[in-house]
Amino acid sequence: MMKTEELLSIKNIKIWYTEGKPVIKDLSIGLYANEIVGLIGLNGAGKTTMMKTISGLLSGFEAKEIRWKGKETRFRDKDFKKKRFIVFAEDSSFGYFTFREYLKYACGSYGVKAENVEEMVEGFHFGEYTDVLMKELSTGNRKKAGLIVAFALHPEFLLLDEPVNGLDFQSTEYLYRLINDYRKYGSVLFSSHILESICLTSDRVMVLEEGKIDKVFEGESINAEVIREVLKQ
Amino acid sequence: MRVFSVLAKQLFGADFKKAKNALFISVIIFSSIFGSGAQMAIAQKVLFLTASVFSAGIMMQMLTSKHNDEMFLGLFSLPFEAADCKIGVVGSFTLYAVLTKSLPVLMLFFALSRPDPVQVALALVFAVAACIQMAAWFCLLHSAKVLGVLADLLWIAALLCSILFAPNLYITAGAMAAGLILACIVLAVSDPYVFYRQYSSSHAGRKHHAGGIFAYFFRIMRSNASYVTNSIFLCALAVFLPFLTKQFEDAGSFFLPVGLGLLLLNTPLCTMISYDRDTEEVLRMMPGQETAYVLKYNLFIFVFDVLIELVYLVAWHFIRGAVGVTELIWVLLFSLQGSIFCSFLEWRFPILNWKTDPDLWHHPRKYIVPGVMMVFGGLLSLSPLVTWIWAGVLVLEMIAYPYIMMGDGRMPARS
Repeated sequence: MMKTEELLSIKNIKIWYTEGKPVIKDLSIGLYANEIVGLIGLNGAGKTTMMKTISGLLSGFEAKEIRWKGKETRFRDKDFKKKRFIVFAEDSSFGYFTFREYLKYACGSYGVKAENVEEMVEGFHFGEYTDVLMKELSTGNRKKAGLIVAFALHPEFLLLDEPVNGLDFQSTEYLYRLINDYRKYGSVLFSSHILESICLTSDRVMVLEEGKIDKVFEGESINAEVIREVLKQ
Repeated sequence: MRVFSVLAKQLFGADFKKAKNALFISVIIFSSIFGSGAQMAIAQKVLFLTASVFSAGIMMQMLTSKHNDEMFLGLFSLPFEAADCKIGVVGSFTLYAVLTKSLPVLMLFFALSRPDPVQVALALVFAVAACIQMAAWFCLLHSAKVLGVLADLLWIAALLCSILFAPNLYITAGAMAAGLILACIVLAVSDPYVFYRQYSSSHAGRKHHAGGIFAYFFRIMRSNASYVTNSIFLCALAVFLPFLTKQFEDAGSFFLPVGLGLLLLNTPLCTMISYDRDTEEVLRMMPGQETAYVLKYNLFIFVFDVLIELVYLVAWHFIRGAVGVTELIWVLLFSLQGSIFCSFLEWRFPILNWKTDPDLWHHPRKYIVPGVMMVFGGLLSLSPLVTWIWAGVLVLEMIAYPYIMMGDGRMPARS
């Protein structure tokens, strides 16, 4: 993929839950516009921590520089918030909303009109559950609800934390299509333990290890077998 | 005792930090009140009633908590001895309820009323016995349905009668001992899985018509008994308060506004954001929630506060005498100020480190708003001018409200 404008640039970020014990030690990451970046790493490597920090949920961090489209920003900045959306790995929020109510609420918060909702509802085989309270949905269906809302909002920057977990194989394949097609709207940063899912969709693959980006794979090197071999070494 | 030690560690923390903290707080409460020389006569039956009813209430909240699913999932999926499991669940919950919640309250009573050692020991025993009996009532309720409800009601009535109307302490203690033995029998024959209840019973539930954020708030209320119970209790208190203060005929102008302040103690309703940590996280993630969610949450609390305050005002009108326009203005002032304070605390200082429902609902933060509002009530009785000054300040607060809630960098630190 040809590199375009740099969308988000984070330099030398250190993130901690307990002061003096950083989970992420010195991480720099740059994301380009209309790019799909996959993030892999062992459990506890800091993938979710990083995503939650970008989402403005964690306050224990310091960074040399955070830039959005070249301008300095903060993760809790209102304008930055409007540009990004995160689907958490485990999420039982807004349990007393139905999917359709939650979608309407999220659209209102982001000030956008939902797009391609019916198509995605069909693609995820979710039609039966759109008017059921989300607390009554199974884990997989809740995940589908969150994903449809995320893609329907079409934010410029989409963060997906373990989006494949809990999905059936048909929905997983449909999700790959959605991620691949998302380049026309914006960029996606998504984490997964399943190497194949990352390789099927990503323009770049980053390996997070001990709080640092250890390796980056691009172009033809994005191949599950190749990455597996390199990681073994 | 395997299950007991596992659950106790989950509840109290690995090094039993919560137990140590609770004991420390209890000692502080006792020594500070005892040291100040403050004294108040508290009837023996009030002491025993508080020890029993309060502890049983906490135990009920713990047993019915929807968060038990997470705590019990690992436990109930492993092989276990039924007796060990029941002793573990009831024992650890009882210990937690009595040590962290009942003991500080009882210490307050002990310091104020200075009862003899027998009464102190009995109050503590009653607290423990009430928790164990609550566990038995819970088992009966969920295994025998209608019969269980009837048995529970009879049992509770007998116990309350023994505390309130027994001619001497022996009968009260005897009734409690009998109740405890009966509870042990019920628990012995009960299925331990009664404690592990799946709340999401259906994956393809009822379809709902589209509603907005207020429908969302009402659904939360409808689905959680504590929200409704607490609001009903406050309405009952609103009717009862004018009776309670009737003996102070001349001090009506003081008690009326103080009562308005006291009635803002609607704990579950004022901890709606803290109660749902996943939603709290998503609210922080999404833009514009200060108006989309918090402002409407504020309005929701306001409506409930107005209703309860109006019940109080109507009751006061019939019991103590006519109320006028000023009192109606007070209702608006109290409800508006209370809801602003509550939503501010929930948004800026949510309680996120709770383990069980009672941790949240009995968090000391709940006393801040009614406490402050009772002081405001006292001030109102001093001069009519205070009403208008407060009204002016409130207008300013409403203008500043979006700015106070908005912005970054003031969000609570999370871990």
